[in-house]
Amino acid sequence: MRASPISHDPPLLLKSPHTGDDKSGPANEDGRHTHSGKRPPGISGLGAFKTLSELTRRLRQALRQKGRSTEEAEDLVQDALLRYEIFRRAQPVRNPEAFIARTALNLAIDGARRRRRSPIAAAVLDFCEAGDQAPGPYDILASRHSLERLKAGLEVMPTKTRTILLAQRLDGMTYSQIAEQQGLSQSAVEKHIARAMLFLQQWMQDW
Amino acid sequence: MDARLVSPPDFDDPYDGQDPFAAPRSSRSQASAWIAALRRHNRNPAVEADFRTWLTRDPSNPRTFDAATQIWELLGAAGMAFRTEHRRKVLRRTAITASAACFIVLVGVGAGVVSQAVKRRKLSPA
Repeated sequence: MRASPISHDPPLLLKSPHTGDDKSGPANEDGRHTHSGKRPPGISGLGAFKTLSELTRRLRQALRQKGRSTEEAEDLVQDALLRYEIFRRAQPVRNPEAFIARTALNLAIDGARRRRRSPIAAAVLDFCEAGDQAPGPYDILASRHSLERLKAGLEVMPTKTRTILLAQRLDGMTYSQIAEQQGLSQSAVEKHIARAMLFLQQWMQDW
Repeated sequence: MDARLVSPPDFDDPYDGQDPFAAPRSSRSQASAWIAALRRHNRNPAVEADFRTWLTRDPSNPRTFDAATQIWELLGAAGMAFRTEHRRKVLRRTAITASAACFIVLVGVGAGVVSQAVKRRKLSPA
């Protein structure tokens, strides 16, 4: 189903939280899902990966195997995630999993090549040239700005609310799983998420 | 408003009988409640139908929901960044604590060795 009947590109990760690990295959082909009753939880559109945290963990692993340091791998994956979010706003991404993976690897290769040639030129190029795919440097910069702001919002919200929010958003845990883990009712968990989202909207105002 | 909106089937009412999806709550507050409601594991077509009704009820609703959705999406990257940073902080703190502990142990051992040596020299004849 489409969570949002409005004209813009449907929110891929929000729309149908209950797909992703089922074999409904190209459910995210054009960003649409057909709702088919109860589905296992997970973030939609990430193909074989149930959750964002699993996808990024595997990517970091892959990058480390290619000789990247842990920190470098983390940064690359984060960059790729950000680019994916921006890119997706302009046009639907057919296979988010592949997009993120490819972007992370491209970033890794570009970075290595440039650093070998000239570290200073590399820094300038990194800044100016966001790769040949859509998001321009200004988009990236603006989004990195919002990303920092949003991260700061996470830092100031109550620990419990944040833990619940991220358990859902990143790990794809169901409300009942979170409820059990936190010793809360499902409705309390849902309220934490709603409250967190309200707070973040206020926090992100004018950003 | 439709009673189903307040308490959709398969799920207990998270808002204690108050309607989270209507005035006097702000459009933002309602949008947040919908984001949370749509993430339920047992979400069903009735909830989705209610959601669509809500979207058309007020012209500001689609816009607010859109803004909230964008935040939800960026939250993927932001949340991962938060976790990474948090982990690094913990690692750094652990490293500092560990090296401080090592230092203390070394100083203690060193002091012990020195005092033993001093004692032995005092005891030994000549």
